Amino acid sequence: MAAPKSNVEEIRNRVILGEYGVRNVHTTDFPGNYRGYDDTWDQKKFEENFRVDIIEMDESTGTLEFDMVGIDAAIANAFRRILLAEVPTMAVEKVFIYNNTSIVQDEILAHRLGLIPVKADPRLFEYRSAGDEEGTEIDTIQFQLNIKCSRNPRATKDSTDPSELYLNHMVYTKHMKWIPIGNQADLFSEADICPVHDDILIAKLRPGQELDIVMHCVKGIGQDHAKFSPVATASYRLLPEISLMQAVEGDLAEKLKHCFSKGVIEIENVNGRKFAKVVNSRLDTCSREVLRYEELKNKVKLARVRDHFIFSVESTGILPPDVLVSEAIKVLMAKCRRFLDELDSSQVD
Amino acid sequence: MSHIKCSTFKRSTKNNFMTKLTRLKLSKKLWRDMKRKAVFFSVLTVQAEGSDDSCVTFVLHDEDHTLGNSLRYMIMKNPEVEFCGYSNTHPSETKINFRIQTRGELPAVEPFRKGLNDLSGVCQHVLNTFETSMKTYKEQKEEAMD
Repeated sequence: MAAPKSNVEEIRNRVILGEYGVRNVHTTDFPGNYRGYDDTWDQKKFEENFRVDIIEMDESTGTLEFDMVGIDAAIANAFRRILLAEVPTMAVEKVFIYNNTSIVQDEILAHRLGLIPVKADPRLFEYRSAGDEEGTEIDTIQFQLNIKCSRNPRATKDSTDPSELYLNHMVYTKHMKWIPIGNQADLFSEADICPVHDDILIAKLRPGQELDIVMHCVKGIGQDHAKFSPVATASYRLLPEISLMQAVEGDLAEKLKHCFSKGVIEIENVNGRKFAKVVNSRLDTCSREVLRYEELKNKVKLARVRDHFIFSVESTGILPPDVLVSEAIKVLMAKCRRFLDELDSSQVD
Repeated sequence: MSHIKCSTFKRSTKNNFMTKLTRLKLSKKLWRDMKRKAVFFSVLTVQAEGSDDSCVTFVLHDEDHTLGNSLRYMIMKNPEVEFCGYSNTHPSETKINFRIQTRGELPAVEPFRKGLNDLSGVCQHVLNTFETSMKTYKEQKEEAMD
């Protein structure tokens, strides 16, 4: 049974949020599914409909919000997955502990050091070849952490504040020193290779305790260990669409306004009567609260636009978020290229 | 700076066992026999049914839903494809079985190749559009600051 025309457009383009579940989730616009529609892949049609809108980028916090319109969920999700797990970064992998008399156990300390984001452009380094224990200048960055806590001779007699009583009792990332290997000193400066944040607390010491540690950083991807993930998080949501089927006025309009997030619904005065109007459905978090009220649930239609993705990327500071998105797209291209090359080389034989 | 190379993906260690030179030295028949025994020295293994090339299962190593789902979408957009699907063999194994069945006589490798090329084209366009938008945004921000 063919669906009525208006319904077809809705099935193709919208994800419906119902009272007890979400409907129309899967992409159905494949060739042959709908009579009268040519859904064959057309690069030109895709390029006409596709657009990217940058909403906001904040360099200091490393956040980027942008919209990708006209693409399918499979590909948008691929970008999100790659941002989380397959864009490479540098992180501490091998920790050589020469002396650790602190209260923090060796392995806990090593684990904490691994999670520290290291500011070094991973595109300038190579992966370490398998079986190589030493590491060369092209694939390794070396840091040293050498700190000893001692009693402060100038402290007043009755003070109980540790910052007054002891010297070097808090070990921060600013105490990590970069040791250049080979010709790294010519290629990079102190500002290029350092931990992203200076004030990450690594361990606490008391007089007589010391740390003497050498760390090797290597290039890796998030799939191997989460410390290599370059994003604090990367996520997307679909653009919500709220449509009022009937006019909602008076007290009901006020109630409707409180069912949605702030700024979504506004009350406007028409001829002395108050009517509800949808102002900005983008701000809504789609809690479906309105569907809980009998008197309101038939007046509103909640849906999401299937091909409009609102991405939010937050970087850990190693690379700026826009560079991360570009790198993620390049990783997907490289994956395709890898299989195309494999196909071509096997055809040759 | 010429000694610094950039690699954006993990090179499979499996490739190290069989270099291109060794492959050329082997005779054609021996090469085909080794492939049929499915010794994993490549990132792509093919399991065809009988002599019919229109129904093929590709085993993609070191891949998951990231490439699997996006590639499946691109290949399904091809009207010549009757069936296209993928699944992971086991959650502990990083490989996927990717099956393509075509209508008529078309060998299944063709939609596979076209899907990869189309996906590559999509990525290229997305990258260009994103970078252009980023550039415009940064310029606008600079103007607003001045």
